[in-house]
Amino acid sequence: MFALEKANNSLRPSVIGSLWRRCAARLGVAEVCSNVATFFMSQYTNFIQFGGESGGCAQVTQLLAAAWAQHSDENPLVVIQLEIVKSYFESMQGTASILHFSDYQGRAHKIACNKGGQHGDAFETVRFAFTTLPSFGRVFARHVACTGAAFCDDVFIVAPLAEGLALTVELKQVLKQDLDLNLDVPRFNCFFPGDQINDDDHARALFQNALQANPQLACLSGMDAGISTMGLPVARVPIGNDEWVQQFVQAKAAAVQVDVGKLDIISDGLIHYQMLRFCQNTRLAFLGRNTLTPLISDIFAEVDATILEALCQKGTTNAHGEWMAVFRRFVDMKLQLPHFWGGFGVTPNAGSAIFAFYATSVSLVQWLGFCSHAEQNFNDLASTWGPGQDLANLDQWSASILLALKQAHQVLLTDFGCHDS
Amino acid sequence: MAQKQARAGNLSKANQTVCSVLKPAFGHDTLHKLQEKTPVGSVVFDKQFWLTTDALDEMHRHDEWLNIQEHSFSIKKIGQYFRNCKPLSAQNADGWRGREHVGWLFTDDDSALQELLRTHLILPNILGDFLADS
Repeated sequence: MFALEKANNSLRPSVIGSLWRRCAARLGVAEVCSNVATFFMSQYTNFIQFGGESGGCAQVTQLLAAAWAQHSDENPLVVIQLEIVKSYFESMQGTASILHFSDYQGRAHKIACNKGGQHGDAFETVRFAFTTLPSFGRVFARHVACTGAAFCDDVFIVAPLAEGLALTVELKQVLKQDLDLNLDVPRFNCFFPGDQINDDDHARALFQNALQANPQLACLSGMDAGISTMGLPVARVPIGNDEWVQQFVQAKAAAVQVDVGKLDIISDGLIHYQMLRFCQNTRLAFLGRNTLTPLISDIFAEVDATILEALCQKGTTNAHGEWMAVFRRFVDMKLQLPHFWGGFGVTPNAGSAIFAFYATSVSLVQWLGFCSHAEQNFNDLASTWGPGQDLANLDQWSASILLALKQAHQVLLTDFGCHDS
Repeated sequence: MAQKQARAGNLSKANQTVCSVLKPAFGHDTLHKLQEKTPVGSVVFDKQFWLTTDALDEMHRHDEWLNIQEHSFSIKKIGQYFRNCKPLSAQNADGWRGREHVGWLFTDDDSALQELLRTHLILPNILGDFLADS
């Protein structure tokens, strides 16, 4: 066992299991992952556990939040974020273990543990999601006005404010009762999507009014919820107004640019190239395929330019500054072309994000149009997960994620020479 | 160090070595904090719907389970796992690493040794039939 220091002075413990356990866990996950994903998606009509797949969680929440205009000003649609305190450590399923830890003086200690799973255990994500699913699903089944998506212990409720808070209270009780789990106070956030309510003070007043109107919600008043009308990160994907989303992506891009600079220390040119290509150039891929492309293309282009500059700098030991502009553009093109076209395969994020966003969003639409299968009794997934959107009629789409999908489709046809099949 | 990791083929670890700003926790109170995070509490849960030991044994004798055990945890799959796991990844308490050491044990035809490793070191993690502490 070892631990890393977090910014707030707390610890992030992680356990490295024995080689044999890691092997068994990995093979076990490979055996069950497909069936488990189907199980998670098909058990409850208004709650989906995405387990280890964070992208789907963000997309579904984004689509649900687009229905804000259908709700009243007094009881608006909100996205509530909940997280469970020390969820893995406190969860009901136990992995009795003796953890070995070496302290700052090199002394070895044994830490006994008889409860919960461990960060670092390959099977823990599946096991946690699986054992907590019935408790979440049971509560959601009693609150039909609410829908929810979870990425393991990160839970997002999309519901009218009053109904969402009522569900939160019951979930808090049930999690404690069933699983001895507590909701995390610092991660209790409430986001008001859309432009009906764009003043944080107004949103805070609505939130307080909702708490006071129902005495059963009193236990939430002490949790000091974070209120926002700008945006909320959902499973690492920004959902909110354009400005806030761009700020979020800009911060992530800036972190990549800083790290690209750090890699200058690598003296071996080939390793420097490989680390830029495989480690830094791929870092924004997740954001790219889950964030609306028009908002991020310019920011991604800046990261692409930083990576190309770093490669040229290392490759020419800084002589590239004397190149003519046209030659520099040619070099950039060669660096970004795929190997089979004689390039170096440093895929440009600004371009690949369009394809990635298109592919993942099409999968979402395809899933929503997929009415039922053997294990699913849903008559119409789209009415639950894409409220107010007629998926069969593109002209009726109003959710920003669907509009961005239409735009990406058009860009791929006109600018990239793609064809409809 | 980063170049050594990269040359071995573990680029992500090399990247982390250069770029990560997270520091290992080695404070005087780290042990205490870790003990607090790993509770030794009651594990008396409502097990009304849990499988009993007999039911688990019965399940392990069932053809479907035996089929999973034979195919998903076969020597071939175990060998593939160790040969393809990341180089220079975390070692065991005794210093053994998956790719550098154990992977080689699954490359030759010593099927008796491989079967012993599978039966006594890997499958107990699935079946839960470890030897009790003496």
